[in-house]
Amino acid sequence: MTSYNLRRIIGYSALTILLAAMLTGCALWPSAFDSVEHARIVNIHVTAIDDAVCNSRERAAPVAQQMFADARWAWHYGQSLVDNEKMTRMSFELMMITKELADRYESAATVSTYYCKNKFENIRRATDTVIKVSARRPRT
Amino acid sequence: MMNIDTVVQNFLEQDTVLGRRMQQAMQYRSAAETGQISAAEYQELMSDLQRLDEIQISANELDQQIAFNNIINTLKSIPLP
Repeated sequence: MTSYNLRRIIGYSALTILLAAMLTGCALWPSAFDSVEHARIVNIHVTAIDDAVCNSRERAAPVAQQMFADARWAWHYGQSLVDNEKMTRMSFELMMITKELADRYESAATVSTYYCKNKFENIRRATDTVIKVSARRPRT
Repeated sequence: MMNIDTVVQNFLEQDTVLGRRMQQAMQYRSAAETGQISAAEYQELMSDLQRLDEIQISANELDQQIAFNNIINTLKSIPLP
C-alpha cells in the first residue's frame, strides 16, 4: 500500500468520525430542561437580589457562602446530565464568581460594600442569562 | 497604532453589551483609584466581566442549538407533498 493511499484512508476515517459525531448529536442537540438544575440557579438569583446584606459582614458572609454552595452544587449536578456541556460551562463561571465573594468573607480580609454589591449585581446578571436560556430548553 | 484610551473609547461609544461592560469596567477602575475597593477586589470584579462574557457566549450557543432543534422538529412534523 502506498503512503498516498494510507493518507487517504486516514483522511476519510477522520472525516467519517467527525460526521458520525455530528450526526449522533454531540454538538447539535441541546440538553433537555432539568427542573432541579434550573431551580438551583433561580435560587441563587433570588438570593442575590437582596444586596442590602452587604452593609453588614455578619449578614453578608452566610449569604455569600450559600450562593457559592448552590453554584458549586449546580456545576457538579450539571455534569451528570446528558449533552449538558454549555450549561455546565455557564455554571462553572457562575461558581467562580460566587467563590471569590465567599472566599473573601471566609478570610480575615476586609470586604468593601462596593465590592460586595457589585458581586451581587454580577451574580444577578449571570444567573439572569442562564435562567433565560435554561428555560427555553426542550422538555422531554 | 491605536492606544488603549482610543480602544476603550470605541467600546464606550457602542450601545452594546460589550459597550456597557466597558462602562462597568471604567466604574470599577474609578472605584479602585478612589480607594472604594482594594486592588485585589478590582481584579476580581474585572474578571467577572470576562466571566459574564463567557456565560453570554455559551448562552448564545445553547440558544442556537435550541432554535435549530425546534426548526428540525417542526420540519419533521410537516407532511411531505
